[in-house]
Parts: sequence; structure tokens; C-alpha cells
Amino acid sequence: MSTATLRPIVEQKCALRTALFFVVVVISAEIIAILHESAFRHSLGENHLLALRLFHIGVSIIVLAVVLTYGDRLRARVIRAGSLLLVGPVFPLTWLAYLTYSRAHIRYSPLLGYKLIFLVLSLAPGPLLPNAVLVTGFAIEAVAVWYFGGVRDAQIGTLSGEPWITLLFGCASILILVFQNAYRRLHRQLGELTVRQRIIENLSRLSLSVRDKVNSPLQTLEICFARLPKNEVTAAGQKSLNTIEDSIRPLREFDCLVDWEQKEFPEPETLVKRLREDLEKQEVAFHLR
Amino acid sequence: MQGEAMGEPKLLVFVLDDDESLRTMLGSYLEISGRCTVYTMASVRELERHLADLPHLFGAILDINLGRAEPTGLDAYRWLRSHGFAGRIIFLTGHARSHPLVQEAHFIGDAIVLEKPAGIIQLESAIFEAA
Repeated sequence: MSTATLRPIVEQKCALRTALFFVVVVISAEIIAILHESAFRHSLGENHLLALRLFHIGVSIIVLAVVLTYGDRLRARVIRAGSLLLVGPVFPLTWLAYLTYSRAHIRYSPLLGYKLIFLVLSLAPGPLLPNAVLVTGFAIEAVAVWYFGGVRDAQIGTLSGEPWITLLFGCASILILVFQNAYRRLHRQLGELTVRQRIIENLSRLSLSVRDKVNSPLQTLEICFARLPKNEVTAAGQKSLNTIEDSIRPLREFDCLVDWEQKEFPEPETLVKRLREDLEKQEVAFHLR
Repeated sequence: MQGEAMGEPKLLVFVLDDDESLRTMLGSYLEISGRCTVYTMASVRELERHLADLPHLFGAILDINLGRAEPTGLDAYRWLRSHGFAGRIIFLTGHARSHPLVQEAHFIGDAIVLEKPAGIIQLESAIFEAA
């Protein structure tokens, strides 16, 4: 199996991890928020926060069920889209939460939710672009909620440095995403190179082993032709022998590529078996972190 | 064993190789040259049993790989040297130079390493050079 056919399997596993990561984070965050808000139920007054948070948990459970049931059969893109579905409801939820907190005049850490969202998005394994777009979207919303959602007015007298601190967090999380992505790409390339190197080394070992097996019969023929009387027939035989020798001689170049590992002389059959096992290997653990 | 020393004294050479065809062919070629009597053996165990029959051994041609889980030509070399054999030893191997055992053979100062398939002139000169 080539490394190219391994890539979809690796990407699918990566997407499954992202989905599970989002589900766990969303459910935990919403439960914490519900518990905290329940303590301020009277101060917060009438709002739809609880309903929205329960809806968000419900969606997360559905995504979790789909991923656990059909995850192996779904393509990486579909799983990733499912993960992004979980992030969608966070836009109205955060806006509504800060609006409600500000109107209720309770003390809260301004825009803390956005900073946590940036952290989660920058750590989530997956492609760079969707996460970077989401971080940008949330950064815009944070500025909007600061100026137009009543958060700034609710924080008068507090030296918070907002919304610039939150924007700095946004920039930092995009940088983390860029570095993570570069590191992941490097890691994948390294994994593919390791597989290729192993296959090349096994192929080299096999061809050298076959050459070694052929050398004794060639030596026999060499002596045989030296002993036979010189005529047209032996000349033709000697010529063919020389052709075989010339054909296998370039294999010497591969001598330096092979690390024989042990002092035993490997049999070609053993090497073919090992090579077949390497090629058939489905799991390449080092592709995944 | 292939040959017996007869008539005028000839050089005694023995060939250790697990390939029967090569053993026979090399033995008969060297004997036909008329300069030596050749004894052929397939394993180190055989050599250990029959060394007493070869009192004036001149040279030994040793294959390095003598089969799976078998003592190697290097073991034969060490055994010969430890039993007082001071004659010429030639390793004739078909294996890659990068293999640890072939490398070890190259590091031995008092033995020649030839790669299979070696030309017959090269082989003869390696055996009879000092004779």
C-alpha cells in the first residue's frame, strides 16, 4: 500500500479526534455556564440562555452519536463539517450571554468566553483555514459586543484593556494555528518519508540478497567456462555469463543503503515476507499525534 | 573429500562452501591445473572432523555464508588459526561488502577476500601467489 492511500485514513482519524474534542469541550463549557448562571437566575431575569445552552448540548450529543456510530464510514470532510456545526450556535450564544450579563449589571470577566473559544480553536486538530475564519469571526463579534452589546458601558471604571486584549488573543491563536499546521504537515511528511525509507531499504536488501544468492552459481559457471575448450558454443555461453554479471554489478551501489541489523544472512523468502507485511500495513501510528 | 595426494607432492588446498556445484567445480578445476590436491567440505563441523587428515595444508578457500544457523567461514578461519594453521586463507563470498561478517573478513589482516564471481585468473593468483 502506498503512503498516498494511507492519507485519507489518517485524515479521517484526525477529523474524528477533532469532532470528539469539540463535543467534549462544548458539553463541558455549557454545563459550567448553566451551573454558574443558575446562581444568578434572579438577577439575570427572563432570557433564553438556558434553552439555547440545552439546545447546544443536544446538538453536541447528536454529533457525538453520529461520529461514534458512523465515524469509520464518513469522509473526513463530513466529520469536519459536523464539528463546525457545533461552533455555529456559539456566535448567538456569546452575544446573548454578554448582552444579558450587561443588562443585569452583574460583575463578570469581560470577553473571557471569546478568549476560551480562541484557545479551543487554536488547539483543535484540523485544517488551518476553517479554524482561522472562525477565530476572525469571533474576534469581530467580540469587538461588536464590546461597543454595541453594552459590555463597554458595563465595564466603566474597570481597567480591562478590552477589546484589544481579546484581539491580541485572537491574533495569537491564529499564529498558533499556523505553527501547528506547519508542524503537522512536517510530521506527516516525516511519517511518509519513514515509510518510504523502510520500503526502499527492504527492497534494496531483497535485491542484494537475490544477487548474493545468484553469485555462487555464477562463480560455478565462471569456472565451468574456464575449464571448457574454447569454441563458438562456450564463447556464446561466456558472453551470456558476462551479460548477467554486468547486469547485477550495478547493485553494488545499494550496498551502502542497507543496514543489515544482524550478522545472520537473511533469506530472500524472509525478506519478501517482511516487505509484504510493510506494504500491507494499514496503521501508520506516527502519522497521528 | 574430493581428492587424495598422489605421486609427487602437490600443494594441499581445501575448499569450504555450502554450494555443492561450486565446491565440485572449483575442486576439479584446481586439480586439473596439476598444481594442487583439493579437499572439499560443506561445513565447519566437517572441517573439525577431518583437519587431522590434512597435515600439510597449504591454503584454504572459505565461503563466508555456510547456510542458515550454521557456523560461518569466519568461524572456520578462527578455528584453523587456533589449531596452528598458518597457511593462506581466501574468503570467497557472494555477499554485500556492507554486511557485518564480510566487513569483519575485510578487517582480518592475514586473509584475502574475493567477491563471487571472481575471475579464474584472480582466483588462481590468490591461491598460488606465495607458492
